Amino acid sequence: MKNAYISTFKACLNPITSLLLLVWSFYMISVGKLVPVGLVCVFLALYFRIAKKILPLLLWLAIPTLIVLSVLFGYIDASYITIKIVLIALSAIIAFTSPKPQHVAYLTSKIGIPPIIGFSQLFVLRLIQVLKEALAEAMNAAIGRGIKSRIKIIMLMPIPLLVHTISLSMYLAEALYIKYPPKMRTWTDKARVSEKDISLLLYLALTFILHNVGIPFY
Amino acid sequence: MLFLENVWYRSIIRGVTLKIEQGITAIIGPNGAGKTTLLRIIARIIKPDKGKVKVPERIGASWQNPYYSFYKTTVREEVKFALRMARKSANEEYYLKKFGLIDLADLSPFKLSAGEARILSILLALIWDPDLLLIDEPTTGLDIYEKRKLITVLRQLNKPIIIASHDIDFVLEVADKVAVMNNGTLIAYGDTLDIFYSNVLETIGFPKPVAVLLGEALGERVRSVEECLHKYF
Repeated sequence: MKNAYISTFKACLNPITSLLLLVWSFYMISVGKLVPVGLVCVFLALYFRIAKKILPLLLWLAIPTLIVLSVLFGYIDASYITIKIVLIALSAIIAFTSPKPQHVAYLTSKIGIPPIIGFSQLFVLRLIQVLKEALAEAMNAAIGRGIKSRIKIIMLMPIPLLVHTISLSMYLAEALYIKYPPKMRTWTDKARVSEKDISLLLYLALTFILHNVGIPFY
Repeated sequence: MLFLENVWYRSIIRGVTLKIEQGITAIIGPNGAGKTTLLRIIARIIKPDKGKVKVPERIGASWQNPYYSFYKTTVREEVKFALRMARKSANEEYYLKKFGLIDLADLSPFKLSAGEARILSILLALIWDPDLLLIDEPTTGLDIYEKRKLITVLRQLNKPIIIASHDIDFVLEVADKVAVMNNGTLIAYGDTLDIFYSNVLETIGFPKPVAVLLGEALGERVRSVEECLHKYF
């Protein structure tokens, strides 16, 4: 069956490759091998054409971190820690956004999790924007109810925000599902292992082995 | 009660001057006319770039999505919480009965229909006795019966209310005064029947409501088709 969502995501990774990429990145960062992680992350960000989108987010993360840590630990240590933090964020974003939702849904459905959970990555990607709008609305609603105390508002806020975000996510999932003719509709699709996955897995395995047998690189 | 003088906000609101007294006032206009923005300025959520805004201290509001106003697991709990916040000792049953929500008291507020949620959010906004109530797009997602119920509720409130809406049939039935907005400017303000039985609506591209057309044909100023039928048949 032709998959309904193929046109939405042109480039993608197998979900298992993404998971391995995440584990590998965290491991290599933990042992101080930042260059191979940086290289692969930058390459994938450019390949998936998400570099422009995530750059502001990474700058938002990096600049305040660098400033605060520079004051606390000095410039050199601060730069090192900041690079590590940025790489963790970058690898997590890439690993999270690179598989197609229906591929994740296929895998999760195999272990008894409802396929809609596989679409959570789409929801999370929209979450920031949704929350930003919802937060303003919910705060205005609280003020409109006569709740003036900021602490009280902050304490109450998660309930309408959570309900709204979940309901909006369901609408989004339904809209995605209903967007295509009935024959093409599917929540799940089995992911193939492509050349991209094999190349990336070879790179991950090679760097992992080189590091563990003690051959110096980078 | 409320006074706006030459209020400007970016290019959304352009020199609006408006004086509102008692009763129900509706701000009508097409999408993007600046109705909600004006309501937000009145609620002091937005500070205008220019102009004077004189509004009451206590302003209650029910915004476009009423579900944002809810925090509790049942309608009863929600009303109890609002009473506690307002430091009122009244029984929640009184309010639930008054607003026709007593049968829904044990339901989750998030599971109410759009109309029921709207009525509950209006009730919650009223419990702390605001001097003025703002309601943004009250008829969004409401069916005909819910609209009727909302009209009944609004009429019995006896409080200054400002409604922003593009539902002209609803406004004709419920409002005492109407402010007509287009492209951020106030193009007309006056008695509801004066506005609806003039050519103002046509200038903003709104068709006249059936009740108005019927009223004009019969030489009577009526607010609804039902009123017309009641008078003549």
